[in-house]
Amino acid sequence: MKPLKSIRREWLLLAIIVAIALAVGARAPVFLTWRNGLDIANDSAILAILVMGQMLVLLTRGIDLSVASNLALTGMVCALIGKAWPGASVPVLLLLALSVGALLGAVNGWLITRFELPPIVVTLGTLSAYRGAIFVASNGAWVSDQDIHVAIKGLPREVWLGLPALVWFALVVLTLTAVFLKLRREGREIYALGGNPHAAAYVGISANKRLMMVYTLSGMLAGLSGLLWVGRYSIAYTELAAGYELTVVAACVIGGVSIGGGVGSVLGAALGVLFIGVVNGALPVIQVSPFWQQAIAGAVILISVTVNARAERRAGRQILEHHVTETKAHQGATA
Amino acid sequence: MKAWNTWERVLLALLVLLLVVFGLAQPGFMTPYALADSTFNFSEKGILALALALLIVTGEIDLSIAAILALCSLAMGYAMKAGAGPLGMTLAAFATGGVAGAVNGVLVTRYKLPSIVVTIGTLSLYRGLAMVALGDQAISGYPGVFSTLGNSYVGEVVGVRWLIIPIEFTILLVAAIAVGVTLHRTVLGRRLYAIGALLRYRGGPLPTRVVRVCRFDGGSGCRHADWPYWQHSAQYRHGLGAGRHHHGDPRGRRH
Repeated sequence: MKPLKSIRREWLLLAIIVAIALAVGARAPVFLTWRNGLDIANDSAILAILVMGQMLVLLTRGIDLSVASNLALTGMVCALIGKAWPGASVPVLLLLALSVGALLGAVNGWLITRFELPPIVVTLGTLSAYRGAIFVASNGAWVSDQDIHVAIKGLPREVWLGLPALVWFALVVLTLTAVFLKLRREGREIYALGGNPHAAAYVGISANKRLMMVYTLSGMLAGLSGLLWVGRYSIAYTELAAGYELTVVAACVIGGVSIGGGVGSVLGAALGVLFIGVVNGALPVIQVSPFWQQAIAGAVILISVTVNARAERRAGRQILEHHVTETKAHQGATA
Repeated sequence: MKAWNTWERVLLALLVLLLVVFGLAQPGFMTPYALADSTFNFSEKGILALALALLIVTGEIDLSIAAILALCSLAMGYAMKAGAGPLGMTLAAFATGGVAGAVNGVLVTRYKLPSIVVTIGTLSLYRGLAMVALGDQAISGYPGVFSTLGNSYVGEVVGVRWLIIPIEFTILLVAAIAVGVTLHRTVLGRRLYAIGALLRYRGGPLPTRVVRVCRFDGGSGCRHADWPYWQHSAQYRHGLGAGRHHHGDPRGRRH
């Protein structure tokens, strides 16, 4: 019953995206060209990578608000090392970005599991701390176009088999996440942990190991995004991608990933990213002020979370009838 | 929850330590004027924090608080353009903050949505609306009374030269006492703590009480806070208060 529901919701989201694309295409045919499709995919690729990491965290009932700061710090570290070491190659830089990101993510995981702190508080703290670290590392200076390593700048501009490198990166991350969540034991344990932590503990799932893992993976993907972001926009500075973590969470929520944990799929989250990409791509085409983008994104988040909550309630996830007992108790108290 | 716990004592000790260390290291730091002026840096943020504290003790959160502030400021600007005086402008800000907070409250309680998601949505929505309304323009030329409220000292207004407490800081103190009394000495306040404690067992928000808090938060917290924000710059831009919940103060007026 449950998979059926979630499949239907994803098709609905896809239908809405197609409807928007067709409606915009009817007014401006340029929107439906292959070229524009590639542009939207290219613009959404980094968001898609970040969303995969965030989804893993949300599935465990956590949240990682530090992703944008992690992205910016890793990006800055890569830019500075690339500047100081002209001989660096692409694999080395990729490895560097993945490990710096993973390390920053592991710090989140360690604080959350070791001291049993709420993820929102820990990652809000590291959001500030990592952002501050960028300032310390760079002395507040920008690393601009001419100082960015050629390999970093070149990577997002590569085209392999007709698709931009960024899209390939996103597709690989999406595929790996889907395989991880569907076929690996660790992936299934993450769903179990988020769906019912107590039951998960009884069947012998180590919550701390899994939490450590998801925060490290989220950090690692944020690190990868940092390298790609710096390469794509050819700049690294302290306020890079500030506030982007909210867009990441928004894409997850639109894609049907429950903030309460245990519910969400790679396909849904990917569609959430596509939705944001299509809306952002469509507004300028139909000459709506870009100022509307943010307001529309906000309204869409509210609508989709309301719809999702309705669907979940109808599915009858609650076994014990809290409501009835509560009203009875209330009547008893007033009588 | 007691008002005077270990952590509060630790914080106070840290504050005293900071004052002593900086007072010794930096001549002129411990003078009354420097101390009074240093309160300009945190007074508005303090008022926002009081509003947020009411929500956080219930286990909820409001990420949209800075966006509501921007929207309130915008409402003040439009009220002024429509010919309202300082009082009318203030009422416009109160009403806007109240409605914006109530929308959060209704979504959290009636539709039982997680407040973090709701307020991410309304953060985007409110700030977006402010941007749509204003574009890249700015409204300026506010009545002098707001500037006085944000930049002057109590002594200047009442005519006592030596009373150099900033008005903003006075507002913060009054608001802090009001929130403190509400939380620790009224039934409403104790119930807010009870909701927070209950939440840990039940795993779901209790409806009616939270909506009231959200209203209070949007209405009271933000509308108080948006005054001082205002008077600092005496002009409104939609970037005002951006990311105020976790970033430093980018205005740099007294830094």
